[in-house]
Amino acid sequence: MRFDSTNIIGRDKEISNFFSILKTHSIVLSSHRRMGKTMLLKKMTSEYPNEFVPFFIIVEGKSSPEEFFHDLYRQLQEDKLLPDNKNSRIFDWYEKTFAGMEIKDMKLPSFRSHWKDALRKTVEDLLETNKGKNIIIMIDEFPMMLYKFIKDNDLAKEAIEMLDTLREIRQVYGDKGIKFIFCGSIGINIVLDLLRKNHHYAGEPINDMNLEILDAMTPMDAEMLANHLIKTSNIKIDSSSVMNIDELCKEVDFLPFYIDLIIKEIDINQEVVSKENIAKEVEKLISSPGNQGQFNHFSDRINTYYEEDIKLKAKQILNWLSRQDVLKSEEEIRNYLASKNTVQIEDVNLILKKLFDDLYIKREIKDGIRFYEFKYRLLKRWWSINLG
Amino acid sequence: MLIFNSKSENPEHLEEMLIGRKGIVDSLEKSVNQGLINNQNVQHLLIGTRGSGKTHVMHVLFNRFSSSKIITEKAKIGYMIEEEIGIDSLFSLIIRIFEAFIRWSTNKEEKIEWRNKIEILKDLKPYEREDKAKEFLLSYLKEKKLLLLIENINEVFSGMKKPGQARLRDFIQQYEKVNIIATSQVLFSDIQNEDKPFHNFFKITHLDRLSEEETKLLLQTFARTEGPPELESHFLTSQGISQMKSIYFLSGGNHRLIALFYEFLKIDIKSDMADPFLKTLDKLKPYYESFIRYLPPQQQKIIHFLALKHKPQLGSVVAKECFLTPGGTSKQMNELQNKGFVESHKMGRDNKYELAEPMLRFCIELTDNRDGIIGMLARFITILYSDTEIINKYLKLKYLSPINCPDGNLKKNQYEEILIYEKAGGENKNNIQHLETLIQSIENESARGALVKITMMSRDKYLNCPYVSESCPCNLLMNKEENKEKVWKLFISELLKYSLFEEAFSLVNQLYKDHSIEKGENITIPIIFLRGLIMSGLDKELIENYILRLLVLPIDEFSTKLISVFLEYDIRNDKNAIYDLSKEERALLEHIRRTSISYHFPPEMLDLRSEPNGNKKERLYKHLIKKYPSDPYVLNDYANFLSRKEDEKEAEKYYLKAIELNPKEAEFTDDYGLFLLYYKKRIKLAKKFFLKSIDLEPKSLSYWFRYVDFLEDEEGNIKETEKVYKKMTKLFPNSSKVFLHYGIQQFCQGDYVNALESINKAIIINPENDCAYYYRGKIFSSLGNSEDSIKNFSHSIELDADNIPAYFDRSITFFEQNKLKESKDDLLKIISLLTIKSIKDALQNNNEIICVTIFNLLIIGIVTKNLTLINKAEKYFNKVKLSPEVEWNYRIISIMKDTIIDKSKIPSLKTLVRSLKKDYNPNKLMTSFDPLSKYLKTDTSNTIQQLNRDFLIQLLNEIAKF
Repeated sequence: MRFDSTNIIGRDKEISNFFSILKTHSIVLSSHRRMGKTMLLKKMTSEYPNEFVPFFIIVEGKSSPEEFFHDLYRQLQEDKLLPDNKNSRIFDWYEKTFAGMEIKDMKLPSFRSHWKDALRKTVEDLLETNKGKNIIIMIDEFPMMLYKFIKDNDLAKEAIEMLDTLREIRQVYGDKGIKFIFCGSIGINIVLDLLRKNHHYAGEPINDMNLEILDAMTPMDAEMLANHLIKTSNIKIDSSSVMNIDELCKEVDFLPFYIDLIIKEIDINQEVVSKENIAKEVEKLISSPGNQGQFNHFSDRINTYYEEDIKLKAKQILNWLSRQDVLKSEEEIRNYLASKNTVQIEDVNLILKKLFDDLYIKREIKDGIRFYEFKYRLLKRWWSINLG
Repeated sequence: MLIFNSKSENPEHLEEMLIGRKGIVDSLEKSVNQGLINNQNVQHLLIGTRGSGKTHVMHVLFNRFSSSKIITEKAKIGYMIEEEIGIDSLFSLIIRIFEAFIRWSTNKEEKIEWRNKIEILKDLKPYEREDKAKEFLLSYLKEKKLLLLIENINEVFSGMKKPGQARLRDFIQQYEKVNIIATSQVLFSDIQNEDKPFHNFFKITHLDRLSEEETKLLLQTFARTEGPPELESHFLTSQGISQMKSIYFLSGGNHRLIALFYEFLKIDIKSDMADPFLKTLDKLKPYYESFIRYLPPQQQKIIHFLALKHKPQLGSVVAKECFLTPGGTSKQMNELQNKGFVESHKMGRDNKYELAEPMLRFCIELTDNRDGIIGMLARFITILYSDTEIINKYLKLKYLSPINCPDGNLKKNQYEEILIYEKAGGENKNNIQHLETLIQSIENESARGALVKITMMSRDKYLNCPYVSESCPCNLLMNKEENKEKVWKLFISELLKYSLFEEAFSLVNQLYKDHSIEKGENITIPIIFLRGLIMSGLDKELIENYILRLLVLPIDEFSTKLISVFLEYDIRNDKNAIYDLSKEERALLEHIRRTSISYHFPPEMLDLRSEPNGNKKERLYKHLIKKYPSDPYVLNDYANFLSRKEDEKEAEKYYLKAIELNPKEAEFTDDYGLFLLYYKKRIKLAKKFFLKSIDLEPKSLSYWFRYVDFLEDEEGNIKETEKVYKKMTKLFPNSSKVFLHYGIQQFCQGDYVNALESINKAIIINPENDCAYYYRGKIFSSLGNSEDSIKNFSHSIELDADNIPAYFDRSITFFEQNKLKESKDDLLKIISLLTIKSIKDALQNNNEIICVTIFNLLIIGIVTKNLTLINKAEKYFNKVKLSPEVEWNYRIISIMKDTIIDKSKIPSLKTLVRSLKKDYNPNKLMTSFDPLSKYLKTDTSNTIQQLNRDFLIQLLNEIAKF
């Protein structure tokens, strides 16, 4: 499905980078919520180099592998990426395996054990129909789906099978032109940790993929976005607005969601883009009650997805860092934590690594020593006011 | 039970009823509009309790959307109104959407088509249905978006459970078609938890309860649109206002309850609210009971407990009283909050809880009242009558009714009634306690009656106390340090505000009788009284009557003067009377005279202006500005104050603010013009503002004078000055002042003939214009007509016995006529009018009139050999530092003195002249030397020896050659 990309501004640099990776490798793309991942994927489906055939599907609501396959299949059909039923391998295979049943019956329980074969056949069909092209299957909220398989539906085994099957498909068909983007706001590492810890999983199902992180926008993209949003609003601008737009982007760490939010607020309140109004709206975002800035998911995410034994410590570290003005070394953080709990050096390093991977904190290495601080100033301010 | 059925009301009516919600509806409409235009989906969620008007808002939105061309061109609308029951999957939600299309569509064929599609879906296998339904929906939408209005989405989501929600979210994300505007009673876990599909999906807006003002507005709108007609005007009466107040309190600003109350009020307007209240309770009881019945026992217990308490309770207390664990309580409270029964307020680590709807409490209390009927009744009255009426009834019964029996005790039944009302005062008792002490402390019956009345009348306006707390007169009176006069002033102006003229006067009378008035303030009690009379718009005759009564009282001189002038000028129309007042006093009177319609001038400002202490004044101004942040008069006054303090930057800020707030007030442009001229030296700009003032108030003479003075003094533009004066004489042909000033200007230009003509006109218009006679004297003097000149000076002195310039000029003329005695007498008169200090200051500051006065006295002393006079005049030079030029003149006079007193001290004329010449510079010779040399030449008496006279003449001649 081609999406309308007129409202998806910027990210061109990231997109071209991804396409160049996709020539050879699949990608695991992660970032926090509201960073614009889905938007980026959708933009990739509408603006892409000729050699690619992009395909987008969101899978958060799929509750089993067969449902996943069914919806994927339907979507591929809808996007006309598969051959006619009669000429397709999957149709052939289906007739042989499920004599007398229509293909839409694949949601039935009898289909359950066959989804892997069906998937392989579909991939073959895809390659057949789009010969010479690189087919990019973008699966949005993939880790979330797996997490739900495991947590809500007791389908850990199926989750493992899905990871392994997709890896196998990449290995067998990757060079022939099938690439994936696994995208998600909860990191796939959270799912893997869960599987390793509770389900004795020892595989490395994504070690063939490039790990990419979607961060804040570049200043240029952020400004472009802000200008676009202002243009499509009723906000009046004057000569000083240019400076102020620059200010706005800086104030929110070039995070697209917040740029959008603040411009909408300014529009609704019929204000002008002035330094004062920007500061006022940012302040409102951070300190006013309610959850307009949706910062809460940063803390909820730890509560929900971090394991019990590190939840508290991770939050303690963030609380403390939110009150610090300068970078803090690993040792300082350890000492702080040790004043609160009994901690092992390795544990602290592990938590820091996790927070770092999860984009809460950034790292600087000076003289071989690792220093940390909050990745986004905006989040730091919110954290220090509301939690720290 | 709904009387206000928002589902079926017509669109205009619904729009009109949109009190307190219009802003939200407008911004939602705007957001959807913009989203559709820019191809961006919007998702909104409105949170509001039962009856807070959610359905109403949604219906208005639906009406607006379905009649908007932009929206209908770009979207299909699915309006799902309170149909949340039975949705358990994405498929069933889609079916509901189809049903909504059928329900609201006006196209018959489309309706039939949708029904057929639903039939088709029924025939499919269950697992095929969702796909097919999606297909139908998408093919119906084509390029358009889907705009869903979903009520109670919390219920919808809870039915769909997480998998259903997740599939909906996938659908929304995959196709980018769906916009949702939803409502919910509370925030619910399906949107709050991180692992839920709709976490942080919606932009949330809370529907607050209506404020008191909005409640009133809603009731008034009901009255206007639904009638009966008399209810609309009834709401303007004090009873109506108190009814609205109690409805606000009882309903807690809840739309639905307000409507319910309104229904009962409609039936019986004059009802004391007890009746509608009980009826409402009867109606609501089963409704609330049905809710409570389905609650778990622990929650029932909590609700029961909170209902019987009349204020919020700490969580820990609730736990203890209900035999629950703290953890259990907090969990139950959470659920009760989610269900909308309870509200919480954070108090440190604990929370305070109360029932969200006051009516729920009354419903429970109705069956569970343990306090006896008086307590019940009293509490009812508290709310039903509003605080004002209870306190008023109480005060009236106790102080105003002829209730005292011969033995001095209250009649029994009245006593009981008083008790009820006293009890009803309940928590507000503190407020009337100090009031009572105050009332009881007044011995004079009429003053006491006045106080009670004013208190009663003003209570209607202020809930707890007649005045805003900090300036409450009762509080101020109780405070011994406080200046009591201020309090009386407040009371008097309040009394007059309520047209209680007699009461106010008797209070003034009483105060003067008791001699409790301290003197020495600008704004005295009689002036406050006068101002109140003027503001009340009372008949002139009646005002005169009060003024005459006021003037009999032993009031201070200043007030007497001001009030008399007001009487003559404003009431008896004697336009000259105003000049009995000094400029400052005139300004003061001007402020007093302005009525409330044209002038919103806080009374405190008058007191403030007379405050001598600069720091205190600054503080008072700041306080005043806080209180009246957008009163331009206050701001302008403050700007004047700041400019005098030479805080130019701040002053300018406030001047401009005042002008911005009221650009039509000439006083502001004038003040700002002066500021520009004198502080900023921006002459051109100042001129613009002076002209602006004239533009704004062309009939006000003072702005014309400001301008013409400016032209003359600052620009020195004589031609223009002449022109403007001519114009002024045409515009104000009856103004003596205009002709006088014009005459003066002509005189200064040496145009004596025309000057005389102008001044004559000024005198014809006002034969008592002392200034005009003075100038006519000066003109005659310049024309060499000393006789007429002296006549005019004398006339001016007759009209104003303190007219120093007239004495001075007359003394010079006398001197020229060799009438030394008359000249001396006038000079001595001038000195007698001034203090020693002011004379010394004037000498030091080169004040020409005073310098010449003293020199002339010396000269007269010298030529008449009057040593006493010489000594008298010389003592003014004692310890005074003279400027070089005055010093120089003094030197000549000392030489003259020595020629008479001690000749041996005199050097030769040549030496003398040389030494004087050395320090000479032009303009040094004081005017007194001209007549002196003339005198010396013409005097034939022997008062001065010939030799000395010749010597002096030679000396003056030599000096004149310089």
